[in-house]
Amino acid sequence: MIVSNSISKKYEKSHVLQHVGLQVRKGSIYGLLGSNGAGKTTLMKIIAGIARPDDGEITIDGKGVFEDTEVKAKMFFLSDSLYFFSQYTIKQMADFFRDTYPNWNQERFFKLQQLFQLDMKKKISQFSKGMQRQVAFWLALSTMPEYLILDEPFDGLDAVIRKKIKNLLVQDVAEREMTIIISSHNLREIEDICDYIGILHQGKLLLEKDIDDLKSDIHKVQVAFREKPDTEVWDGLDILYKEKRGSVILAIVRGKEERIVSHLEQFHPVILDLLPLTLEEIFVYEMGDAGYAIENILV
Amino acid sequence: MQLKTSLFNKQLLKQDLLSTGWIAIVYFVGLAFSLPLNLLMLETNERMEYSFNSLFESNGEIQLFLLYIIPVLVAVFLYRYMHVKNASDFIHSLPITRRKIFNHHFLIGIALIVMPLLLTAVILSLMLPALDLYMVYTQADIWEWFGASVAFSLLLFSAGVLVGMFTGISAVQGVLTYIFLLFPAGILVLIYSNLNVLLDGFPTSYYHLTNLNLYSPLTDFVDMYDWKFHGWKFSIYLLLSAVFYALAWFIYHKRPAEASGQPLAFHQVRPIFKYGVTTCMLLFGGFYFDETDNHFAWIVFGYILGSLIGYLVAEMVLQKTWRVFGKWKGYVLFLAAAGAVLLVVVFDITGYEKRIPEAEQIESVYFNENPLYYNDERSTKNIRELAIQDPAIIRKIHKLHQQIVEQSIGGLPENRVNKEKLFFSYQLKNGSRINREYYIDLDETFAAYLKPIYESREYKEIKNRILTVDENDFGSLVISNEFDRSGSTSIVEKEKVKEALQRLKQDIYDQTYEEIVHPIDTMAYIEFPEGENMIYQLPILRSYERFGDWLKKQGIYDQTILQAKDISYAVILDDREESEDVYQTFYESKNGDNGLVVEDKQKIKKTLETTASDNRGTNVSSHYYVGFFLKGNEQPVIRPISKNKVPAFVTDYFGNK
Repeated sequence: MIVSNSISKKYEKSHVLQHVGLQVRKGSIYGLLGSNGAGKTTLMKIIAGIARPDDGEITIDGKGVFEDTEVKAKMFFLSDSLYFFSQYTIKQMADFFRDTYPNWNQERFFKLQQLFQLDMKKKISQFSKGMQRQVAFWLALSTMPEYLILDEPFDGLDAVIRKKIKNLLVQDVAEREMTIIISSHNLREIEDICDYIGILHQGKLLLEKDIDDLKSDIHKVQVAFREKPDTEVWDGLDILYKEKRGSVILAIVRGKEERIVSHLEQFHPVILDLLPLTLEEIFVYEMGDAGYAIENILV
Repeated sequence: MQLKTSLFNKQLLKQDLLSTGWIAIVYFVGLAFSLPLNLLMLETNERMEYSFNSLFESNGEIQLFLLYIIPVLVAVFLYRYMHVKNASDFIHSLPITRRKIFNHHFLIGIALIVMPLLLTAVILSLMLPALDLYMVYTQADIWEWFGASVAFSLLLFSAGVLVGMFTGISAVQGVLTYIFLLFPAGILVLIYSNLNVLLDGFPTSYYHLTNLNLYSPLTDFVDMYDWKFHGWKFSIYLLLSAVFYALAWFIYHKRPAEASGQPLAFHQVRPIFKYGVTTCMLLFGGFYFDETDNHFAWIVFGYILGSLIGYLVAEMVLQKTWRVFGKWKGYVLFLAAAGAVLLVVVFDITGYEKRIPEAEQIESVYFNENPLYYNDERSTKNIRELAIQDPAIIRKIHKLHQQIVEQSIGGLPENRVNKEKLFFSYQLKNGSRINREYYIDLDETFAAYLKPIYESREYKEIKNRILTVDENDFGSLVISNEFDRSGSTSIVEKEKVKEALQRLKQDIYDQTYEEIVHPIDTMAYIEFPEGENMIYQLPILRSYERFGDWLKKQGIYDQTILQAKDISYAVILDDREESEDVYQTFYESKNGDNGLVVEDKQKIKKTLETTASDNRGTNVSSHYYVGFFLKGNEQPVIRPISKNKVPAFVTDYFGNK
């Protein structure tokens, strides 16, 4: 479990992170969303033990990360801009990691080669950008991390590879309870694999939610009545948004599904449908005014 | 879970070697060319006779170049990862502690520097018996060379690493390393030369005696050719390297990984850097304008211009842009502070200028016109040995000093032109020392105070080293003159030498103040062998009557001392009317356009009796220079005419023009 406790970080005079507290449960996939410059990379570097917060602390399984090799050995950080030693082949890089990460799994490394189909003897710099990213994932997963920190990992990958890697990640989470923190400036890119979503905006964590809770907590209701209903139809419901399209009323309602249905059925609607919302829609309605500020994350 | 806690990460070492090993190869090739290969070449060339004082003499320029460049290059390349964002993030995300990462790189750095040197040393060591090079160098030479090179390289390397910790840009690391290494010597030169301008009596020459070169390895190592790398220096270099290593190691732990790309890694260092650069440039501005044009207004201008440039450059580096012309608050505050410091110094708030030791406090005093007058006085130890102990003379010197301070003649550089530099170095009874230096005119105000000092035996013994040597020590001497090398006479009879020296000494002891400050030259001199290859030269002055008699007794007076009958004509020039250097005019156009040509023997004789000694300061000479053209000789003998003795026909001639 990763816990960050009121983390703050300043560069020069600008506050990059302000009192960020987040919790990532073991075996979960945590999506960190935010526009460029929101502080995602800084937060992840702090979690990975690269940078030190000015204030607050970060613990993984109750221990600090910075300079703790035991904790860092269980973790792998994949930066948004990749780095390999110059002139190194995949094989040489793997040798380096084998000597550096105690949990390195050579078997896994060879197994993954079947999947990626890249030449181990070739210099990494000669691969395309997308291929290099695959190499990075290949090496990262071979170190058998318990915690995988991914900063904008899917940039430059085509849909097929993206799918392939997502599957690998999900598989590791399922099989060995790997924990992933994944950052993105695009919700759609990661919504299909995340259990949790945190939104970082101007150095502050705006919200942190369990996606299942979100989805079961908010509903789009389509309802129509034979006659114009009383205003009290909506009393007692938590309405986030409502509009009328002809005789059909469209409303976004927060609450449990059964409660909403039983409440509306009292008024004998002609039509009563509960439709699923996309995550994007949920955020827009959930966040109200603040939603505008982060709109660009959600496209 | 099992952790690999081995001391070394083999892969990390390998990576360093793969990426920076080429430097060691280049280094070794360079060393191979400058030492073993060069020696082989010299050896095959059989006509060459050669031997080295030290192995640094073998292709010394190449060695020096490598020694100055390679260690810093190694430091920059090994720690380059800190300055590249991706690399820094990557390395610091690994489960390796920062200290371990740091030590790995440092260790590889030492190996890259030492291995080529060691390999070269081993090759030299094997070549020695194999090629029988014992005439050229010895085993001891090799290891002395090796030790000095290693100590110097390690110092540069560790300094480079330390500086690298403070910055996030490799180029800045390289430049700052050299500045850092040069700093101790550089700042002393700047401070001394500025105090020289601002503080009346500040003994700049004395501080030059203390050998400022020592304060920076870069300036110290430049004259490594004939040079002994003393054990103490070796220890200091190694000790400093160790200190730099420890500091760097400590700072690396504190260094923010995100500092890559920043000119300065720690924001706390920024003001120090900014105002440090501004201060140094302020001092440099003053130094520059003092050297080029020594008017005080220009020096102040130099302060302002220098500090302005320094401030802007520092800002440009810090902000990584040249458009930094918006922020002036810091500069205005700096100028105010610098102005305050300047006022403290100029108005002598600390009382430095008035501080003269009490006469009773003085144990001894070294007093001379110029502490750099003789080569062997280039050390503070030597001047202590020559210091005057006699209380009567000390009181007289003290009195002169008081008089100088009371009259406050002002230390401004423009007041120093054509003045004589007087140097006082007191050893006090309480163990401390006071050194002062003044520029005064020997003829005017202070003559009455100077006279008893100049005429004392003690002062004469400081001034004339010949007085303190034992005349029995010399087996021979040579008497020659400037106009005719073939006219030199060697005296090899011990008795004659002894007599000549005794007479000479007596002449010097009898010299009056007037004769000392206005010596009349004969253009002849005496040469004594001194030590190996050294010759001590002493001009024969016209006032040396006893010695002159001795010359006559030996029958060599006529051929030694230049006389009117030897001269076909003389030319006198007024240097105020010459557009270029008078010496130049004499050599090139003989008499220029304005020269007075003298052919009358009587006038020539008169002129000969007024020629000032050439190696005396400008204080003694007038504006007139005379060139004597000898029969059958194209090149004249040139001397200034003594200030107080300009013949009437000369002043008449130039006065009427």
